[in-house]
Amino acid sequence: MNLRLKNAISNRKKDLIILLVLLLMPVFLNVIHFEYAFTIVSFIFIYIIAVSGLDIVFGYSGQISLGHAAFFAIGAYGSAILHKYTHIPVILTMIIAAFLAAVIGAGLAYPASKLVFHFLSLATIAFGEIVYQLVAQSPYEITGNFTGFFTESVSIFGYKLNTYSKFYYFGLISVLVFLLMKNNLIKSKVGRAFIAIRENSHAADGMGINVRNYKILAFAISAFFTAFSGGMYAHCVKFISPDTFMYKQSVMFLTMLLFGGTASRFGPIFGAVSVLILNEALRATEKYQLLIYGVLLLIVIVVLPGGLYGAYQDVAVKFRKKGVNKC
Amino acid sequence: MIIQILVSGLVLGCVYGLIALGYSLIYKASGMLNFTQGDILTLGAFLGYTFYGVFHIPFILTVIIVFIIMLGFGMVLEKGIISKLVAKGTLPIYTVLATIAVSYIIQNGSMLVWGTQSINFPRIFHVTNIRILGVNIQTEAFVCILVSMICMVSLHIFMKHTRFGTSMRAAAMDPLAARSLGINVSLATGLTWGISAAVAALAGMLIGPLYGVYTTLGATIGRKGFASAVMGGYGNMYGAMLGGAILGLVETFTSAYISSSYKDLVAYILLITFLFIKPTGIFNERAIQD
Amino acid sequence: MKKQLSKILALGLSLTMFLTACGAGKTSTKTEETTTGAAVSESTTGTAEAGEVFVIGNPQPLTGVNAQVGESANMAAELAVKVINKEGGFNGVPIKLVNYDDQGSPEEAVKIANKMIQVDKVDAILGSLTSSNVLAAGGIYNEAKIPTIGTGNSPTWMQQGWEYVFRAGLNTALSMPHVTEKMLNLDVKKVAVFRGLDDAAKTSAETFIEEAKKAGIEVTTIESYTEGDTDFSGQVAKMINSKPDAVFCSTNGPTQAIFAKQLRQLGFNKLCFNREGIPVDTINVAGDAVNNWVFAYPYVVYSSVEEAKDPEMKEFLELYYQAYGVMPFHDCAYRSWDAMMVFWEASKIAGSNDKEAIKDAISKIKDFKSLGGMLDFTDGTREGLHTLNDYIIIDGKYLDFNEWIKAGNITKLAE
Repeated sequence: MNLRLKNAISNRKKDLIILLVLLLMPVFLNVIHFEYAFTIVSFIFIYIIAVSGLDIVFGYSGQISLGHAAFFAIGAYGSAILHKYTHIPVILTMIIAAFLAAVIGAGLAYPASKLVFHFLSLATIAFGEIVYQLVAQSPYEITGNFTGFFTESVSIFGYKLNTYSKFYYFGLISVLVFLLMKNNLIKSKVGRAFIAIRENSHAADGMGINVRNYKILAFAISAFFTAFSGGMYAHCVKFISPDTFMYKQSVMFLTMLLFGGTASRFGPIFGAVSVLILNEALRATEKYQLLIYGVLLLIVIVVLPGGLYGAYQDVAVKFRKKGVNKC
Repeated sequence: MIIQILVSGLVLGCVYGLIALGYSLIYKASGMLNFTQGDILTLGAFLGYTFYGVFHIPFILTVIIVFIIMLGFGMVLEKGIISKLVAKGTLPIYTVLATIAVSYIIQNGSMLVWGTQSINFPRIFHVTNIRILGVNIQTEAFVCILVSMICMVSLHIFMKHTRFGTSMRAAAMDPLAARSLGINVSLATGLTWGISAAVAALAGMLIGPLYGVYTTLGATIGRKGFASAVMGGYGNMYGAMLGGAILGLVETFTSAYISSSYKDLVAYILLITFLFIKPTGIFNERAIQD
Repeated sequence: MKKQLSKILALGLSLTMFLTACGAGKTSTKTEETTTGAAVSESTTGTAEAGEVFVIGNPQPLTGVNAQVGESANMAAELAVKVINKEGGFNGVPIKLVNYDDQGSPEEAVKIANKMIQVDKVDAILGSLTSSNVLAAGGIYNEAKIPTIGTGNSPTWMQQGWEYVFRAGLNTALSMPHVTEKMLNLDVKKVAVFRGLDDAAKTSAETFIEEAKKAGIEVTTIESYTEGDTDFSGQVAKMINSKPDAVFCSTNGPTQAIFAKQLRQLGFNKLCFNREGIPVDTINVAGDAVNNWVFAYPYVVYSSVEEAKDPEMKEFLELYYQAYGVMPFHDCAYRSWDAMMVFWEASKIAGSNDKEAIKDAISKIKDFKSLGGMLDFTDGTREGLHTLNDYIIIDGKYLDFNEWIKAGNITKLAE
């Protein structure tokens, strides 16, 4: 009893300290004049949410998507266009666009849910390409087509988050909210149904789980996550163009997820952070970037199929031997 | 004019078809998707250019050399990466992602070797044009269609009517049973990847003189090849070519008579529609649904 | 729940720490780098004082379709750095380039823009040659008050009212009235348009269509393509069926050559007008198909030093050839060189390397001889180049179009 209380207190202390450090991080970064870190951290926040979305559909419910850039695009363009024409506050338009993406995701998943793995990937590629084409060659050029689209920054009660350092807190809060949402989802009945479908959809069916409905639900929730991060992207960079929403972006999401580790709490975080830092590090090598990227990806696939987080866990297990809390 | 559009559509269709042929072959033999086909096409075109355009080796010899090199490349790809992953029992998506990684490597690698400018693939024939039905058709275009047809028929015969083809199909259907019958399953799957790569490289050499060679030549073609394969019935040789022809014609006629802006849109809408409504394709090839 | 939160927080913390460590590491290596050139003070104001290095950020596409173009632009820029430093740099301060690969992607451009400003503390920016990237990042440069010379051709990014952003190369909007005038002189009444969908190609085509309307030239059809397409026979057929007197083409990258080939293959033998200079590799791939292609442009890409007649151009090409053993691959090399020369001239006029002073000085540059012709920034548009030449391609060679017409070749073509 005493021990548990002690543990609880020390845990809370740890929380507070970490939270405090994360909150004060910008001050520290400003002192050492490394404002550029905000840019990278902001992108990390955005991609963590997008990849978490993909993790729900791929990692937990076992359905592949090579078209998540489409949801990213729907979130980004949906929110930006909605704000431009209705002047609804940006945060609201981001949420509306995310809901819209969820509906579209469900609409896609309804017929797609009966396809096997490989052909689901083809269907999602086609979906991604169709959305890309519509964004790039929109009727009446509402998306700005290839020229691109300038967007507004997020503003909270009239306070504009127009720099990366201001965006930091918004990103931090969003990540916490979405990760907690994801964790609660996975622990719920719905989450268990997702995992059951992933492990064996026939058995899940036998257990009385409505496989199709849950598959559709997984897609819709996943689309919501990724679209919200798309909205964050649009209002953080303040300029969007179709280039960002091409097929290679979908591959990037999947790469981050696999890099970090699927179906885990921290996989998306590990993935987004490592791939984005890798990108920064590889920037110096300029034209070899894609080559090195491909080789590293291949190595991770062949050597570390559990992703970085899987590898970390393996090591942790070796150290702790018994009594690990399973993630 | 309409005949020329028809021919252009068919040439494009044949290229899609040859790529789709590779997809079907691999799917039939190992149940895998391969995302490198498009970039292998690019690589084949670059190699063909190097041997034919730079070293001035006769074209026929060039084709044979590149065919053999890419056959080896495909087998190494399968043996070195794919079969290793399969043996480890990893999820199929990892093999798919591995092929995407390889395609990145090929794209960037060929950029480093051959540069980024588009390269002129010298003409193969001295006769510039052939006159068919009162219309001038570029000789290379005509040959492209002809060679594709030959490829399709010979691959079909190879798979259906030779001992080796039968063992390949058997290996795909039930690897365990095939192995117990003394079939070299590992060789059979390796060979299908090799043949697919070789066919894609062949397609690259055929379109080189028509379009020029550059690093992103095959990327879009590779993705649209999937549409052809699905339309025809994934896993069916004739279906792959038919799907390719349909896609090529639809694309060219859309841009000629409706609008060029909708060309790609139409291609992908066709793909998704077939997947949702008729996933077995025109030739009713099964094993696509859960 | 608490445990989760703590884990997430812990992870986030460690990552951020890692990042900062990385960042700090990077900045320190960065300083080492620069100290080899000259002593560097830890000034963050960015104004170059004695003993400092004047840093010019240079984002260009080094991978993707335009990689080789970006590379030749960088080679010219590096050459300019050498030449300028030999002459004492900017007001006695040596200059250096910080090169980045923007991959032709606006997202990368924005990230790089922030990095250049915050980490590299650049004093000026050169590029990118990709117009949409200048459009995406230009606002950031402008906000940071960094004098920038973009090397893209598109009018859009100069229409944003960014007072720190200049151009020393061609604005394609400028060349369109010139092209339509030429067409009228040649009795071209109907034109079919073929265009790409990226910002530069699309805007050029739109400006052309507008100008054609003004000039009373009928646009018979407007066809487009997407990057990566290889077959344009559908579009070509539609264009030929509309029976135009000429074709206006606004494309990028490898498309140009394939389109030209297919246009001629399907039997269109009349004049074609291109929105910008046609690079050598297009001519190599397309061969005879680019015969009778016309374009209005400040310069062409020469395959040998002897071909150039202009003394400035000759001098530059000689330097370039001596340094690299090859000729510039694309006219983007000229654009980068000219931009560097404009910065140099501005530093001379300003007499200081202060960003504000340089920005003001660029607007004062007048009668400045560049590779593209006389530059004049004094009209307040922040555009320097206002003159053009006309060229036609015959048997793989660039000829002066006006002389070619004078020689009576146009009637030969009609026969």
